[in-house]
Amino acid sequence: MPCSRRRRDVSEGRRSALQHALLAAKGHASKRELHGVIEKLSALDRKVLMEDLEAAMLLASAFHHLFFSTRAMELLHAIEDRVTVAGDPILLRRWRNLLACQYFAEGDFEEAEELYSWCLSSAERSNHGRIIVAASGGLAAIRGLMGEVDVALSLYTRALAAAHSLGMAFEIARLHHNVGLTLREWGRYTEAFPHFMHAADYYAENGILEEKVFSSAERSLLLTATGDTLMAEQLARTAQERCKVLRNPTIEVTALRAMGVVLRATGRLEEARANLIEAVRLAEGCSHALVRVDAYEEMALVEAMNGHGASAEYFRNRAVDTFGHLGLHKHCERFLSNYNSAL
Amino acid sequence: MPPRIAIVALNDSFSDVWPHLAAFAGAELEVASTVGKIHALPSACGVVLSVAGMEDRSVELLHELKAAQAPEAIVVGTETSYRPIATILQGGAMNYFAMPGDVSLCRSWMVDRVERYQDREKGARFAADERARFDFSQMIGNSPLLQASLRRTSRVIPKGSPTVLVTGETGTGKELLARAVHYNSPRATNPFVEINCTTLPEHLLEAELFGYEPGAFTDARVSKQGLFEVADRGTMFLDEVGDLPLALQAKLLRVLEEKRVRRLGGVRDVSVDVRIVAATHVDLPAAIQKGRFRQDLYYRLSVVPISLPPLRDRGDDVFLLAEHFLTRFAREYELRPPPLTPDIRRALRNHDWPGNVRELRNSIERAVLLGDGNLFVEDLFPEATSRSQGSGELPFPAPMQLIERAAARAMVDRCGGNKSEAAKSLEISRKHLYALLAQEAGRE
Repeated sequence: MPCSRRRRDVSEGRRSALQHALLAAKGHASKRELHGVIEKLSALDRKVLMEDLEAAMLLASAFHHLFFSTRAMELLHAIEDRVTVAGDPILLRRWRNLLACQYFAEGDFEEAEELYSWCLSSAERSNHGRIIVAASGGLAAIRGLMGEVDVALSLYTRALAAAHSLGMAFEIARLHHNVGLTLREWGRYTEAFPHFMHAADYYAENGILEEKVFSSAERSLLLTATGDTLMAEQLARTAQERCKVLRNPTIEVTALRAMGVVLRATGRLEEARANLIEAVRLAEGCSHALVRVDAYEEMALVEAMNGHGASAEYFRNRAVDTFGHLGLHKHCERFLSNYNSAL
Repeated sequence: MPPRIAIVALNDSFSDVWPHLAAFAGAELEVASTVGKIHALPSACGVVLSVAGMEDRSVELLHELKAAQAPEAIVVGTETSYRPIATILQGGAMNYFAMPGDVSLCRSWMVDRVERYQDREKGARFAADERARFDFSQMIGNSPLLQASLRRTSRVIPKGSPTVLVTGETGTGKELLARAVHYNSPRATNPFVEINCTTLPEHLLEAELFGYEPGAFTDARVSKQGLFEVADRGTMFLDEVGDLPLALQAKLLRVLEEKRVRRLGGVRDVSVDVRIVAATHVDLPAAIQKGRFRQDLYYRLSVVPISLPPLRDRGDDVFLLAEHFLTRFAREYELRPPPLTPDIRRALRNHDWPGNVRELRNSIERAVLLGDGNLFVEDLFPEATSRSQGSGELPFPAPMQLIERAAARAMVDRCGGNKSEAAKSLEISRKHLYALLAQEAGRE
């Protein structure tokens, strides 16, 4: 076979493999099959993958949806130069939005906010509905973390309106979950309930296991806060059961922490401690700064209540440092107030 | 229908490129040499004019496309100098791509068109799903009060866009009814915007509802659409409208009367076509008497008043709903659906349900999860149980099961722990007494 023909065949073969993988991956409309997307696209030669920005974006998106933010971030940075020189506003919007999601996950809220804001105004100008939903939802989550609940709620309202008109049922559920989370974080428990219910109803029918864990864990935290510790414990246990097959540390920490919180609330401090030691151990390996700080915060409270002064102080300082690093000053103030009460 | 990209190609240039780009975007391809030969042009998700070397014909073709009601088109050619491209863009092209350098931009454009098409399709499917979900005939409950409300609602939905005022206690399903109104109406594929008038402070609520122009207030750096504009051609659900501040009530009244909104700091009005569904648990006539709600707004809102009955007035609906939730949660937590025993039915019937259907839903989920396949009265009503435990008194009315257990415990205490004597005094068998005490212990 002549050399040029063979080269062409190889190139055709690569293109065909990529097309095949991409079409197969794009065909996976359901999030249940995101693992399949990753499997198909990761199996491609890295060089082939990097040749095609659309393929790389699809893979990064699958990583993101399954909470593998480090891998998504690495891939997005790897294609940054090519995205920039492509001069494609649609691709740039999608890339920046996905990157913002990773910065958010890693706790760089300043960077995430800047990217989301750019995406939102760019998307509003060109009526790019999907990005309007994602960027306003992302900005809402950041404002919520900063304690600006009203601003967050108004952004969520907009995101929900756009998601409704595009029929993005999953996004509607995710946004409701996040509204519930923001309201719970800042003590607006009664208002948080219906939002969590809305999300839980959707996840029960259509959610992947990861989402069900988050949903159960967050509802457990809400119920602990409102005093229904029996139900809270059962939900935390459900979350832990569901975690067993996932092997995702971020999700496992969330479930362990929920259990730790309810055990602390019911005075079973040794059991709470055992859960939280494991949570901290796993959280240390996570890139999600919010997950880490949640674990430190709870560990510090349990150690303080247990009378383990030095250990409590150690985790208190880690929590304060992480809160400071994240710029979550209101959260930090609230934590210190709880910590001082626990001593 | 799968997304379709239409290509009007004046020559064979790039003919080998189109199939690849369309396959990548997940679209079907239709190629023709003239505008007239493209089948069902308005339904294409994107149109490409391929004019390599013949750019001077672009504007004429763009006019033909416009006359044929085609969606916005891009022009693809080989021209790279500024002036002819500017002419094409002024002629109405959405964009101009020069091949071969812009092939990836062209592909990205196709992906975007297909995504937008899919979004529209998804929006329509979602509306259809929601319509099925909120179909009035599917709503659980046979009570005459509920059925009367549903009949009344279903009659008004197709008739223009009268404002609907839904009243009822918390948890009676006001939001569900608002969704039902929207998704069963011709507006179903347009936005459904929901805002709770109590969640935001007045100044923020005003900015949200009406939008603003730059400089309207300190943080207003760019202009922003209000939610009335976002909801154009759709439905706006104003929850807890009874708590709307008086100043905003006046502005809402103007929107209802004139169907126009003006952004904060704006100088011109924007027309909006929005159906308002308002809901409240407040007694609005009483609020009017107290000067807290405008009478003229009340008349404007209550064109079609719908009152949702509380669960306690819905008779056996509580059992139908309980069965529904039992099945749903048993499936979710992979448990056997527990039966509604006579004890449970009695307890469900006797409870007052101040939180209505929402309370019932939460109670059933709790009981299913805690009972691990069984259903206990005390899991349904933890507050009543803990109250009775804390004060030593039973709630009134209390389920029989609870009364029996409390009586068993009290009698054992009175008999100084002698269970035989306690059983004798209660005229029940020792076995029965032990069962009651075991249940009581399990509850604790």
